[in-house]
Amino acid sequence: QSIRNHNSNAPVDFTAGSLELQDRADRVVLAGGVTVTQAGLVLKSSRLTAAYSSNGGGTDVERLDATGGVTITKDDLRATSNAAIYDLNSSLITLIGNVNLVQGSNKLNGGRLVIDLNSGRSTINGGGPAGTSTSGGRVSGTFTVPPRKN
Amino acid sequence: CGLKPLYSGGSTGAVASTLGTVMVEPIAGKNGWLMRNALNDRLGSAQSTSAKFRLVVALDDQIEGFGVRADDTVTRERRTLRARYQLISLTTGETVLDATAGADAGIDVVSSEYATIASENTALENLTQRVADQIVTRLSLYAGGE
Amino acid sequence: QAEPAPVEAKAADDQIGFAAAVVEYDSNSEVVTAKGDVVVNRDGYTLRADTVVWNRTSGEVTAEGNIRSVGPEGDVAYGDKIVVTDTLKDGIVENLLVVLADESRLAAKSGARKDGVYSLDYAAYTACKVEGTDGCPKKPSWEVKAVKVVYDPATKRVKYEGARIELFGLPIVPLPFLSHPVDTKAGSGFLVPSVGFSRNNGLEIEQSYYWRIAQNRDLTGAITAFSNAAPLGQVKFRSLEKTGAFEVTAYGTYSNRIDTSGAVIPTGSNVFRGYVEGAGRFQLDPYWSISASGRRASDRTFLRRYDISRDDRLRSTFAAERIDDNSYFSLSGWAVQTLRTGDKQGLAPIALPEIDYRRRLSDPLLGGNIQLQANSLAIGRTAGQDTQRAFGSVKWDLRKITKLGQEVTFTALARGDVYHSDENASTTTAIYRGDSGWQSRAIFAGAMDVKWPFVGKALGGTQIFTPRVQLVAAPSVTNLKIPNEDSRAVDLEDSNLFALNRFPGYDRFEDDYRITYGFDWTLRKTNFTADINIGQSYRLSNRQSIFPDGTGLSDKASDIVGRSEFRFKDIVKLTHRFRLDKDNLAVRRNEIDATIGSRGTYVQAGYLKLNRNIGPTVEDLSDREEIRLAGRVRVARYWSVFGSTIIDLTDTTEDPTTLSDGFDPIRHRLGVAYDDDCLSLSLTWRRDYQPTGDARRGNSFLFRLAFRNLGV
Repeated sequence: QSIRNHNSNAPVDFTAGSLELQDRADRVVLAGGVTVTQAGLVLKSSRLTAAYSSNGGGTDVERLDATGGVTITKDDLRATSNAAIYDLNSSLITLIGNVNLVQGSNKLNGGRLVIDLNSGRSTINGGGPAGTSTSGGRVSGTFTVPPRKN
Repeated sequence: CGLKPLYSGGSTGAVASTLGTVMVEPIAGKNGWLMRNALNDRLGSAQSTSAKFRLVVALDDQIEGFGVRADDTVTRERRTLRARYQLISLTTGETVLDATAGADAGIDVVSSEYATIASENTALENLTQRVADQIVTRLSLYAGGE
Repeated sequence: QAEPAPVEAKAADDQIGFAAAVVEYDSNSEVVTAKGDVVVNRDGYTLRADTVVWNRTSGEVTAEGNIRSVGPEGDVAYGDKIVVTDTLKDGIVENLLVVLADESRLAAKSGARKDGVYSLDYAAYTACKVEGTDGCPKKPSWEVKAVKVVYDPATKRVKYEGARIELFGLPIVPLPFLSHPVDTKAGSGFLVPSVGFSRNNGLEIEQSYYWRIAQNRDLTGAITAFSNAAPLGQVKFRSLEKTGAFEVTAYGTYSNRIDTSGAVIPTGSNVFRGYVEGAGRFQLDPYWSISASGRRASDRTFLRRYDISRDDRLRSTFAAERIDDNSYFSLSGWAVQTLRTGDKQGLAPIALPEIDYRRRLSDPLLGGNIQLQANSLAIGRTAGQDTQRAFGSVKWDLRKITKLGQEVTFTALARGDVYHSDENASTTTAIYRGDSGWQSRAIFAGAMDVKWPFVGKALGGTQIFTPRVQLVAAPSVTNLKIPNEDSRAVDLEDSNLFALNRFPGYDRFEDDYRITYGFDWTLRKTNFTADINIGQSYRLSNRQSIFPDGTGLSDKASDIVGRSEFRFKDIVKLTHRFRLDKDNLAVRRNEIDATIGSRGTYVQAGYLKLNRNIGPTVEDLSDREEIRLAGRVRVARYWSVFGSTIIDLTDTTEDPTTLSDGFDPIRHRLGVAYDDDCLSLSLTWRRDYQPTGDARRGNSFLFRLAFRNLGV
């Protein structure tokens, strides 16, 4: 049930209320209830900006910036926050602002959540940049104790 | 030097009539019974209907021996009766007076122990009269606006 | 945006609540790492640390960095490194400190907690504060060090193995099987032994065990081992019932006894010796109550020899009383065991029964109040005079306040007595005997008493001056034919000067026409009060008085009696009672008591001088002179020195029978004491100067030690 070995290179498909192509900036801006899916990972938000590189003809999406009621779900993991950044190259999803992570019966909330799709490690803190708790915000939540034979 | 009678105006004067409105609460034990009677004799036992004050009295009654002789026999005793009393106004419920009074009497320890016991009891009866006097005098001072 | 994260998420009992600055959850290694003021709680246990790593598969929680783990009972454990299971209950702690709910402390090099029970190695326990009031660390005055300590918060009990107590850092008392409750409720257990040395029995060590039988019953058993006497056993049982309480104490030993007459019973005649005492009081209903107290020693010197009590007479009594608003009834009995060397037990009176009934009613005619009294008494002596008495009396009092503020009281008394006595000859003092067989007597007395209190300002306070005059008239009654059992201790004092009958008891009544006069003067200021009263009485008839000479009432004019009392704040209290001879104002009785000082440091002095030279016909009322001193000086914050002494100054001029030569110390006591919030310690040296039987003269030392929480 872990989110390990998620394939960040899988094809990404979008559905949205409106779509605006800003070709020169290699960017697409979607709005009006956006849904992005990639191999079982679903990202929903009210606005999304996708940046892609157009070298070599193909359109590789490099980074997604979602804002407004972001919800990310994969198998039994469900995370919500105000905004999220999915960097496909480093396969890191960073959620910021009022983050709430639910995995099975484990619940965690805090200011900032970084999910590493390769190692399956998710780090949540009070909202400062990773590793520092400058903003003084606290992380809290509960983990279920797996039943044990002893 | 400005002395005037404590009970000026006689039995209908301010002090005596105020004393008449003091109801004495029951006090435990034999010395409590004697003390309550002595107080009621002096205050005129106000019934709960006409009472404006409540007098709560707690007694402490000790007998100590001294005059110790060479063979450790005690030849003299002293009975001390102390009272701590509080006057509580029934209208406001507030304690308007909280004081203590006390008296002691000496008793010779004679060869017949029962005679010593009897003089201890007589000392108690005399002491309740003296302590009651002190309490009523202090209440009169209060009633006189002291 | 505001951080909604609640600081401490309450977790259901199968969940662990986390709160931290950063939480990393590696879902593939199932390891949760929390950093930054981490608070983890589960099922009433909370753990606080700088870093907490929880391996969810193995269930091991490792915490590091100023750890604070709190159990549901409120015990707080601090440590450097804690490894616990994810129940947060069990685990191993390095360098552990547990602060118990009542703020006593348990520290250990290492310890483990299993199902909430701490078992610690190389631990130390103290109930003392480790911080002074100023907040700087303070060395606890005592601590118990032990190889192993087990503390169970559920039963609130600490058990030690290989324990010893260190006092101010010095190891003194090994306590192999010490265990004690930690909370304020008393639990059963061994109490701290007390050590002493006495001239009679040599070195003594007392070890007692407190057994809490039930919420309202307990039993304390003690064995005192002596270096040169057989051990003394003691049992004390106490019980609190619904309507009252009682307690019984018994002592027993097997030792040689020296007869008080000094003749040493040939040694080897060890006998069983003991003492038992009990007291109880039960309030059966709002009116009826029964009470009893009994004391009985096996021989006359047992109590002194084992320093249980210094009383020279053991009183046993019982009473059934009924008290309501205006009536008092009592049925009582008295018996006395005398321990005095000279007394014959056969002459000791047994009063059984003594019935006294009093009833008060208000007088409808003149508005006074009436007190009816019926009394009966039966006194028996195993080898002496037996006397029975019954009397009935009516006493009428009327109290009026005149227009001028005078308090006038009229009194009238009528009493009828019936006596019966036999074997009167065996009473040594002739005037007590009375005629044997049936005697009767009628007593009448009338009195008028006028008090005129004046009040006014004086010396910055209020003064009250109360002159008093009393007229008493009592026709002559038969006195000497009546046996005198209870009117023997005659002494004129300010407290009985204005009594209707200045004899104590009922067997003698003062039959004369007299006038008694005196005054009371009181000065009341905020910090200072003075009370002076003085008085005298004068006999109008020239009938011969039946008061013995020297009682101050034997002539027409009585001696002058009075008292003066001065009190300054609650620092100085001086009381002086006196009786001056009417002719030459010589001091017949002089009692001075002074208390000076505060609660921590004070000096008490008591002086008694009786110079009544009562004739030999009345063998009881001898003269004495004595001084009693006591004091306590606080020398340091917790240390105080205390002492007391009694010196008999009687010389043969005052009491021909006395053995003392005018300066004869009876006993004195000197000691040093240390009291702080968790320890009280005292060393007392006492010297007895007078031997009685096998309670020999000499020094004795008592060392008392009491630790808070350790079974004081």
